[in-house]
Amino acid sequence: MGFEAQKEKLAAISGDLLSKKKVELILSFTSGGPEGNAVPFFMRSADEVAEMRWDDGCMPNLAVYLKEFGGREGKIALVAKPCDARAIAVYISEGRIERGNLYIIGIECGGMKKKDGSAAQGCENCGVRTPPVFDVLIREDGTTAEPVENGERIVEMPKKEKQEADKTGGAENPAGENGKQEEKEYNVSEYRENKDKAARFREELKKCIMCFACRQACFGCYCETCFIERGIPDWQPSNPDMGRKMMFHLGRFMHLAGRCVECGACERACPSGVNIRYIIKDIAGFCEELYGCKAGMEPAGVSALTAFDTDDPEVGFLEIGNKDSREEENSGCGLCGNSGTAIEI
Amino acid sequence: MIVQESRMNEESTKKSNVNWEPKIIAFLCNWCSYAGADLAGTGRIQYPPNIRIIRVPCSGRINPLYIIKALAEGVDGVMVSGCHPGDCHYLSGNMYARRRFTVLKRLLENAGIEPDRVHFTWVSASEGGRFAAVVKEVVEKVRKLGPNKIPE
Repeated sequence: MGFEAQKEKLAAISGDLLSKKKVELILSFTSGGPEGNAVPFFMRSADEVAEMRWDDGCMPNLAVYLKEFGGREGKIALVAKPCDARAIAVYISEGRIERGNLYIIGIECGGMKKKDGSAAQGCENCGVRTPPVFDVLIREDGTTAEPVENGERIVEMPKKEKQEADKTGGAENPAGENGKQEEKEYNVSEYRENKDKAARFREELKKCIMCFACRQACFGCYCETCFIERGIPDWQPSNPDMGRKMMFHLGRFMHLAGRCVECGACERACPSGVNIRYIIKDIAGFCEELYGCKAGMEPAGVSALTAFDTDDPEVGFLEIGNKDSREEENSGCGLCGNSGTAIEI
Repeated sequence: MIVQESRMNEESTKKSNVNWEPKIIAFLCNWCSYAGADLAGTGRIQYPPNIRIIRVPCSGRINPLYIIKALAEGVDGVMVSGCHPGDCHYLSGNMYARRRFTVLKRLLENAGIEPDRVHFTWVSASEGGRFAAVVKEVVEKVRKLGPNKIPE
């Protein structure tokens, strides 16, 4: 892999940015983490460039620190892997950061690795190798590329995104088609399988110590007061243990639905090894398939739950009687529902 | 004290499964489904008394956390109903709700909550009969699943 070539280029760009005072601060990586992994590095002078690190242990999602800086305290730069860049794109689309105060050093990434050589949390099935938003891009062979169109356009669309775009151009309503397929699959899930899911979720939650490290590590959790810590309304169920944990995790996932960039920071941050990321991972795939929205791929885009289509599929909705009973209102009685449908009163 | 006692009684009934009746929370939008429920009432259409209706301004007003909390508190089923898509009093509230609920249902299913515990549907103000039929169906489905064991 071209980590060395990329690192050289990264050092050159960073040194240039800091020595010419184009930015005040660069968020990058340095050594010193557990198991030989990298830790975030806040670089303020060009002398520190030598301490910078770039290899397959640079896992932290640096976008999370924009919660603190937000580009409001002068111009800052950030080394952005694809997942970091996607998180930044989500921030941009949600109006969280000042794009003009942020210089994004995009860097192509082939996936981070754990100490034992397996893919890091979040990198297992990642199909995004190129950051969707950047000011300068360092490719895997160490060459650089400039963005087309005003710093927001992708030089090369990732494979999946490209297919999606082609489909939208051709078919009339690809989301609807997908929805129908999904529906079939969805309905065959049996209760027994469901029981296994419940058992798995419960087992994982037993490990949770409610330290909220997953929330703090997540770029998407930026509420000033998390719903779980609010007094009014009090979201905590009276059941202190399982109910509370379930409320927190499912509530958090619901807030992340359509926004999660699958960086795996939550799982890495967990001190007890709770692995429930599979739930939000599935939701991310579900949103992409059903609504064609992949979080953070378009800085100007919207997330799945902040938009709608009048023909959205209704997966899992209750179907009773005739779905279009409204159309038959004139021919039947609204009171008893006997409008030619098979409803017995 | 009394509340606590009744709660304990309730829980022992739940565990023993004798005389257990499902308790279902229904979130109904003010403009269509609540009026539909009202019409079922004025039309004297019988439907099971297991539902507790909570009136909300719009199905788009229903925070998914309401549903999660209801389940975490131990309610046996949740039913949500609003205006038919295209008929929302606030024009697009139910459109956002539709996506939200589709995703929520998938999320709950991933967490192992039976799909039949949570139901989403549309009932207009003129569909009193349909409202009764929906409630019947929901109660039946939840009854089949048995008591909610999530908070245990």
